[in-house]
Formats: sequence, C-alpha cells, structure tokens
Amino acid sequence: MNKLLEKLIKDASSQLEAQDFAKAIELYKQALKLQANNAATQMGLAMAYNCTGNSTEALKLLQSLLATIQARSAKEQATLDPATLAEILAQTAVALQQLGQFDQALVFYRQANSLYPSDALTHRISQLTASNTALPIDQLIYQAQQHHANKQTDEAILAYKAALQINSDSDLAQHGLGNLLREQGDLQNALFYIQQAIIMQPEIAEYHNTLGMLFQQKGEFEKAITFHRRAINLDPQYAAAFCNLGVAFKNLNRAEEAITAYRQALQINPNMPEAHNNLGNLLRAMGDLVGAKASLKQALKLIPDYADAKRNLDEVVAMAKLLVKKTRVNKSVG
Amino acid sequence: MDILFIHPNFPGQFRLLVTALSQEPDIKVYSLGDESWMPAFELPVLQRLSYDKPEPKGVATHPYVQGFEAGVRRGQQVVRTLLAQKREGLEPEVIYIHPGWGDGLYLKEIFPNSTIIGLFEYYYHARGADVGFDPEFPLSFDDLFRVRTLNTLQLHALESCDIHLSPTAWQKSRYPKAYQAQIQCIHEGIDTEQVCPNPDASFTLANGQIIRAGDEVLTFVSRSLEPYRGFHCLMKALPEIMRLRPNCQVLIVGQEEAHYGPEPRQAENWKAKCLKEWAGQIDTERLHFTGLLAFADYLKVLQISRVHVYLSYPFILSWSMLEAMSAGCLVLGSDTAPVQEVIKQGENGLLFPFFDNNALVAMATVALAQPQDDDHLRIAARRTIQTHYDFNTIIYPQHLCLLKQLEETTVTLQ
Repeated sequence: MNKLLEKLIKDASSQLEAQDFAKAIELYKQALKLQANNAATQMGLAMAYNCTGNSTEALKLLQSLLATIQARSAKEQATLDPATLAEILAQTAVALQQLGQFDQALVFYRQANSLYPSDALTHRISQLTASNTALPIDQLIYQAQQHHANKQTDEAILAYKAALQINSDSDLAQHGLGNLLREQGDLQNALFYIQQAIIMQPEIAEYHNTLGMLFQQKGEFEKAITFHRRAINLDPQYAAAFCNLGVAFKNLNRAEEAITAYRQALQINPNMPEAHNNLGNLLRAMGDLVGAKASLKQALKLIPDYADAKRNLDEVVAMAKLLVKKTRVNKSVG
Repeated sequence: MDILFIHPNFPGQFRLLVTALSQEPDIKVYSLGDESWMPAFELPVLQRLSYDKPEPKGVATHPYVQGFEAGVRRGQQVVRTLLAQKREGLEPEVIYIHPGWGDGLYLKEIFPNSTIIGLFEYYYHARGADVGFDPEFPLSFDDLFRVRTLNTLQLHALESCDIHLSPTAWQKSRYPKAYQAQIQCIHEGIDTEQVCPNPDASFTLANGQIIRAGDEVLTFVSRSLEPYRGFHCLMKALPEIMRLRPNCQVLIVGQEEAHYGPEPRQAENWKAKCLKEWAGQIDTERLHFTGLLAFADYLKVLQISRVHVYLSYPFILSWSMLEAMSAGCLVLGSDTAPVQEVIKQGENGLLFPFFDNNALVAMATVALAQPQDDDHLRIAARRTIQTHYDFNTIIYPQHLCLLKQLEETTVTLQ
C-alpha cells in the first residue's frame, strides 16, 4: 500500500471515529480512487454511509466485499479474522435494517454474532426480534412515538420502519420517521418522508409545520414561511406554527412580522415559553428592553431553568445598565 | 314520446320507472342492455334491445385506464347496436342512461337531438369518502392516482348528458362543484305500497324453522357481505349480542362474493373470514345466512325483523335501508353521511358510530329486549320513506314533470 493511501485511510478512520461523516466519506472516496478494491476503504466507506442513512450505497459496498470473500478458496477464507468478517456482516445487517429489510437483517446479525459474539449484536437481535413480531401498525407507531419522546432514537426509527413495512403509505409513520430524521439532521431523507405524509394527508396542519421546520434547518426561510402559513391556514389555532413562522421571519430580518407572529402564538397559547423567549430576544435586539425583559421573565416563569431565556435576560439587564450609565454620562456632559 | 333506457344490467336502477312509463299510453319504451348481463325482465309493451358482451380489455392496458377502456368498448358496442336500430327508424326523444359503464359515451354523436338524462350515482374521491375510510383498509399511494382516473367516464357523462340526476343529496355533493348546480336530486324510489309492514309475515329458514313477525330477530341485508357495507363490523358485534340475547335469531341476507371491494387475502370470502375469526364465539345455530333472496322472500325478512342493522362506508346509499324503513323496521344505522341524510337520530331510527362495536352491541341488545319502546321510530321510519322516497306519489310525478317540460320545450322550439 502506498503511503498516501495509508494516510488517507487512517485520516478517514479518525474522522469516522470523530463522527465527522462527511469528511470521512470524502477521504474514503479519495482512497477508493487510488485503489478501488481496497477492503479497508470499502468497509470504512460503508460504515460512514450507514451512519448517514445512505444505506443503499453502504449495502452495495458490503455486498461487493462479501462477494470478494466468498470468491476466495475455503483455505483463504479460514485465515480471515472472525472479528473483521463479523463486522462486515453486522454492517450489512445495519444497512438492511435501515432499508426496512428486517428479516434479512436478522439473518446477518445472527451470522455475525455466531462468528464473533458481542453484547451489542445480541441487543440488536433482541430488538429486531421484538419489533419483528406481528404487532399491529397502530401499536408500532405508538411504540415509535414513545421511543421518540424518550429520546431512544434507534428504537424509534426501528419501530417506524417496522410500521412502514406493514403499510408503506401510513402517513403517521411517514411523518413520525421524517420528523425524527429531521431532528437528527438527515434532512434529505426527512424531506422524502414528510412530503409523502403530506401527499397522503394534505389536511393535517402538523405535517406542513414540520416541513416548514425542515426548510428552516436548510436555511430556506421563504419556503419555511410558506409551509408554516399552510399549517396555520389548516389550523388557525396552531400556536407552534405561529411561533415557527416568527422564527422564519426573524431569520429573514423581517422583525415586525416576526413580532406579530410571536404575539399571535402567545394570544393562542399564553403559556408558550419559546414564544416568550423568542419575542423577548427580538425585542432586545430592537432596543425595546422593557418589553424584552417582560417577555423573558414570562418565559422563565414558565420554565425557571430555561437557559436560553436566562442568557437573553442577562443580556437585557446588562444592556439596561449600560444604557443607564450612558444616560448619566450624557446628562453630566450636558 | 319514445324513451330509450340504457343500462348494461337493465333494468338496474330504472326498474320502477320503466315499469310505470311502459303503462303510459303516449309513451313507447325501449330498453338496451348487455345480453350477457341483463337479468330476465319482461314487460309486454317494452321493446327490448340488447348488445353482445363487449371485447375484454387489452392485455397491456395500464391498470388505471382499464375501466375506461372497457367503457369505450361498451360505448362502441352501444353505437353499433343503436345505429342499426336508427336505420330501422329509432329516434328516441329521451334517453335515460346510467353512465357508469360507458354505455352513454357516444350517444350524442348518433342521437344529437335526443335529450339524454343521466343517473349520476357516484363520483370517486381519494379522500373524504369510501376510499381509505376504514382504517383496516387504509388509503394507498397508488389509490391517489387510480381514483382520480376512475372518474373519467363520469366526467365524459357530465359533459354529454343534458339532464343530470342523483339519488341523494350526499351523492350529488360528491360531484365537482362546477356541475353540482346542474344535478337534480331524484331518488329511484321505493314502492311503499308493496314494501310495507306485515304483522303476519313469516319466513321459513333452510332448516325448516319458521320465524314470525314478533320473534326476536336481528336482520342484516347487503347485496354482498363485505366491508363496504360493514359486514365485518356486524360480525364483530354478534358474539356479544347473541350472548346477551340468548333467544335472538340473526338473519343475514346477501351473496358471499364481494362487489365493491376486494375479497379478503386469506379466506375465500368475507363471510368465511369472519366466521373463522369468531368461531366458537357465535352461536351458529341461531345465525342464518340466506344468500340472495327473491324479492318476495327478502320482503318477508324485513317484515319479521325486530332490529335491522345497516352500515355503509360513505358511499352509495343502499335501497335495502330505505326498504327496511318502508317495511317498518327499526333501523340501527351507521352514522356515516349517506345514512344520516335519511335517518335522524332518535326520530326515525338509531345511529351508532361505524367502528364503535360497543355502541352497536348496546343499542341492538336494548332494542331487541324492548321492541315496544321503539315503535314510534318504526312508524316515523315508514313515514319518512312515504313522504320523501315513495315512487308512485313522489318520484314518478317528478319524472313525469321532467318529461312534460321536455315535451313543451320541444314543441316551443318547433
């Protein structure tokens, strides 16, 4: 192996460990250009793909790796490190699982575990076996929502995918999974699922609001405004959509419209800490320190340990002090 | 006046109207239908025409347009047959059609001066009606496209008919807004003289047992025993109803083959599926499936009913529900839009949520136990049908009025 290739693989591996998947993918791709059939590169790239949800590409690489191994003689195969082979099988299972092919995934997990047993694999197998039982779709979606609420992301994704395996057109599962992926930052896949949910049930305000949030994450605030407004048209009492609309306006420097949106949110739900905080923060930026203080205090009244609101309030207090000081100086100068 | 009725399954929805018009001295009635599909229906004065079964759809036709292609083939078949008749002198002033199968596609081309009256039964929607209504059979992505294309024949008919009729206000409301103002609501009608209560009625079961009016009988009627008409919901409720009412006999009328929806996946039909599902929980000694019945026997079933259960997805309202009301049944109906158009809760019947099994059980058991408490509902049910749906006094005069207006318009134009 030439030194450059060696360095690229090492750097890519470090990036993978540091969870900078985009960088890892870039480096592995460079390595592949130098040596297309390098097993370590293929494996590393597949792992990075799996981590970013690009399971189709991961699966292609892993299947190619497995085919190369199977093409070897039995004697050559026997010399393979069982841990390495188990890792290839396990990654194949991960890709299959992410693609919703649970039965096949289970087969690969089991093969991996029999070659090189581990608690992680045993856990995966038990999870998949449990989710693979014939639960009704409603129950699976409920389970997924519970996992999501408890921040058990992997389990939630698994349950949503199991639900979609039963009915690939379930808008609830599509939206749930899309929203979860959005929160994870996988915006491309999230977009697909949320759009599908809207196609299936265009009358549900929440789905439009979620899509609006996704566009905000992408920095496409005009589009976000469109979807928050659609959500509001469908449900004029949707306080969260007003609040999100305010955020989008703020990001476009349309402060007056943002303030109006936050106030509309608070009119619907006066106990919405995010709206109080956002409003307070914006008023602060606009120099209305009295209004800002009142809003931020309200946010803290609702959630006493609301860090963002605390920070914003501290800034307001600091600004107010500075202002008083300046006023005194000006007066004394005058 | 020459009037031509076209329906592949003639007389179909036109049975009462054709029979009545055939007896009018100044009207000559012709009928046209699919020879392979029409039931035996003869009237002495009726000029009966028929066409051969159209060619089947093409092998490679896209599934969404298979129905439309079949409609085009049928429409062509109708044209061929009617052209031959036209050369013999047939020139109907009025043509009544049911456009659902394509029979009426090209009528205007060969009879440009005839007034075409179309019966507009149902315009499909992917949301808000039958498709996807039942969570057990959710809307699929494919449905969105399939259903839109499904209305192609209806859209052609909306354009080519001169007069548009819908049987109920809800069915009318399914059509595109641009056409709704043109659609008149005229039901096919119920012969309330024939379909009436009979305290002396009795029905003999296949096992020889005779059930009489006044016995504890729960009835359910549907052309096909399938989810569209809530058969699965009834079957789900039966174990508990039969447990709570140990003397109750249950009569279920209808064929096993599904008509509007698909057959179940793991059973021959819905009846087999439900019986398997509830095996051991339903007293099969007291559960009687009669299959389809001759009208006279079907009428007896309604007349001996103590409680009649009717469910429907938001879809075409069945005549059987109106006939049950006309026969003085206490109808427990699902609270879906087409049913609610006729049954008002506690006024002329009782309503329960379509999927609320417990509500159906509770209402049915109370009504079976205390039939006298609901006599006012039975009386009101019959009155509803007499005052709104009676063929002879309500519906037929509306058709005569329509035809008279047409005749007068034609005379004025001449």
